[in-house]
Amino acid sequence: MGRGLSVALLACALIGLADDADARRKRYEPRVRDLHYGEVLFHFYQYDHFAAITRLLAAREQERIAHHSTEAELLLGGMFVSYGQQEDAEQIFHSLLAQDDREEVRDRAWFYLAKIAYQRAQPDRAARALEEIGESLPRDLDAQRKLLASRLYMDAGQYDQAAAQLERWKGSDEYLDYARYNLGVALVRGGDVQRGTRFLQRIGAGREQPDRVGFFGSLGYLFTPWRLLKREGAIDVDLTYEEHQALTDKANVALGFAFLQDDQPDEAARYLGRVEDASPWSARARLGLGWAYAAQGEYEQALDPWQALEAGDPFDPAVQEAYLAVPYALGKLENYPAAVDRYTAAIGSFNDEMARIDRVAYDAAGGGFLGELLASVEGDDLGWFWQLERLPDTPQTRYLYRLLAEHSFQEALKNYRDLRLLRQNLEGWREGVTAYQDMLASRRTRFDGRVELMGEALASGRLGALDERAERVRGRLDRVREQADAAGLVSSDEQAVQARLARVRRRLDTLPAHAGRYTEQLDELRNKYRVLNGVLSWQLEEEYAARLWDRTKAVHELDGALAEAHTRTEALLAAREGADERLQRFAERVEAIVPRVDALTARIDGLMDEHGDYIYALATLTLDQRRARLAAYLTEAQYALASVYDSAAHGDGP
Amino acid sequence: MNGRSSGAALLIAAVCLFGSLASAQEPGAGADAAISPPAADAPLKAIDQEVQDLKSEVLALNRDLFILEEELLFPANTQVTVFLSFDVGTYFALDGVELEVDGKQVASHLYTQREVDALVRGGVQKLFVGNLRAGEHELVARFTGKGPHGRDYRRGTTLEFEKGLGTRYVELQIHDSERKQQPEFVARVWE
Repeated sequence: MGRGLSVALLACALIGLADDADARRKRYEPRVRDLHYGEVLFHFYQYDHFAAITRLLAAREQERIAHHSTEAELLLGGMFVSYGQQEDAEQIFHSLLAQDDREEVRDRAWFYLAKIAYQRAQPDRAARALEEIGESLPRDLDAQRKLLASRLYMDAGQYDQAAAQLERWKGSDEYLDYARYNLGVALVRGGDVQRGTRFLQRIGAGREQPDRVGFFGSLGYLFTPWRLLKREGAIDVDLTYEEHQALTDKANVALGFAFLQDDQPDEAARYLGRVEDASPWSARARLGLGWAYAAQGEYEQALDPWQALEAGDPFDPAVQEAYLAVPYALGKLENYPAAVDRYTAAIGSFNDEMARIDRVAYDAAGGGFLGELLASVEGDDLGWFWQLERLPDTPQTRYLYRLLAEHSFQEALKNYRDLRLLRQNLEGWREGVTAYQDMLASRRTRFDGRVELMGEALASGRLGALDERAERVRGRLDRVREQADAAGLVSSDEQAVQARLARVRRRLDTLPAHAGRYTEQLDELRNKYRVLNGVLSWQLEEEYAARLWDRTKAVHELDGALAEAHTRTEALLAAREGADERLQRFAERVEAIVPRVDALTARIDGLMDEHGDYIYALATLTLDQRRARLAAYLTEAQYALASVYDSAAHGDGP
Repeated sequence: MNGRSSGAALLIAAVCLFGSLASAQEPGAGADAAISPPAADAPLKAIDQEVQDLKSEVLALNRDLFILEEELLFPANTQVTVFLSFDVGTYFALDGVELEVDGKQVASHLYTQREVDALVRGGVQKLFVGNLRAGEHELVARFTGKGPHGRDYRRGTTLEFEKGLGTRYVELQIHDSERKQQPEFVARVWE
């Protein structure tokens, strides 16, 4: 089984745990209770699973999805299953089983564990896990359980039990069609053509093209399975109409060849004739149809599908078969010249083809084809749901067409592509980490600059000097208060006046008491001095209390400002320590990342080389097999040509 | 059916049916003998295990880097994250959104159908993550799209919020008002 997980299952599993989405929520009640879980779903629903897993792991680590812990674990486990991380997934589901006794959770966990065991080719464990499942799986998931059980029975050759699973079917018809196909083929393969045919016929009848339902048409979208992976369809596919048509055609081809095998060419023709011309199975159908007519002796009729096929892609093995089949029919119709021409053309074509294969093998030895293959694939999500569907049109890939359809090749190529995407992811982070290192370095430089300025400011002793001056001011104010010294509260303007009055006094003191006719004027000046000095003294005494209050208040304010300056200085010192530590921690975390990125990159490079060699070996093997088959065709054509010449010479059929 | 035809038919039938359980193999599978050499499967299994180990480690690394990046670029004391969510979305098909914080455009987004589908299914988009100082801020979101009856629709919503210490999460929500038969646009702070 492939690694694909039907998100339909997952979506149903998750929705099953949530309330019914019937729009009866309270008006503003969010549909998700943790925004970060919603963000995970936003990426998950866009098939961006790498981003979804990364965010889920981060949110879980940061404890941001507490309200969705069980759903988140189921989602993560499911995505791990899809991602091929079976061990991680198993761990999650076992842990859920150990911690959660709700039946709806346990049933889902057992279902996924069964799926994982099946993927790991452990059918017994898968069967045991299926037996643990109770009655609480939602309908779609239960249908998937039955499919898985039927696959297990089929693999064990227990077709009756497998059929019994499908007969009690209650899931969607799309899944059922795959199951019917699988069972039909298995029964035919097991020799029960009649029963196998019955199952295949129910698909081969086809179905009407459905009306498309608008996306916003109803809430039904919540339960609509998504088509994610078109591999191991019975378990993982939601069929579109086109896919159903392809399956119908495939069933008709299988039925046709089964009837050919059972020697019922008329029945074979009936089914093979139903296959549409545009179908991917039309070449095989035409080839079989020709053989069905030929088996009934209708060689003229056989020529129609074979000649139509001859015009097809010369790389298609069915077309190569037609190169032999057409002259064979012409020989039967005794049109020997035409038969000779066609055999000769076939021999030329086979020789050309083998020469081309040799050239392709030589070119492939250079290893370039792998890069071409990967370059042709669009999208950059990791390839859990990825499959090579459209091939680049290069000689190499056209020759490797058969190989590319092989599961083992697709797995290998998918792994290779995943590795390449992981490498790109690491390269991106490597650049990011370098940017973080630069950012941290620049933060460090800026921080160190600030620290230096701080250091200078602290070293200058400005705050200490201010403290000392404030202390002196407080001392003076205390003295004024103790001595009731009003003059101690003199303002700077008054100090200037005092100084001028002192100079006037000194001048007056130098003058004689009697100065003749100037004595009266001198007395007047001395009186003026006394009055002015008295006024100033009176003013100081008068305003002493108010001034003392003002000065005391100003000193309190100064104390507050100084305390604030001290607090800020201490906070800055603490911040400097904290920022220093933070920067250091970030730097250490970034530094620790670098070797991890480098080591992983080196391991990925080694594994890519190894994987590339493995894919190349598979490719070489395919080319060898194709060449061997062409050589067999060539031998057959040469023998048939000789036979036609012989028949033409003797006048009897080959 | 003569020897060639019956032999070929049986060969083709056997080949066609061999290993052709329903799967999405390319047509042409089953045209040749199956190519799964036992010798080639063993290294694939070993490589698979190694790839699994590597993926596990790369995922763990991505988780650590994702967290580191957020802590480094958007510290909790300044971080503001704006999310956008849908509730049902019957009356409004979202085309785009523009986001302003304090009069400056900080984010704009045009939606693909895939993104809209993801939102309608219950996904929540992280529209913007940035750093804001503590204090009062104003956020304005303008939505464009198709409203009821396919008419062009342009609506806005405003939110004044306080940024304190610790990360602040804002959700822009578009939901259906059954009563008004109209979409409603709400912005709210997650406590």
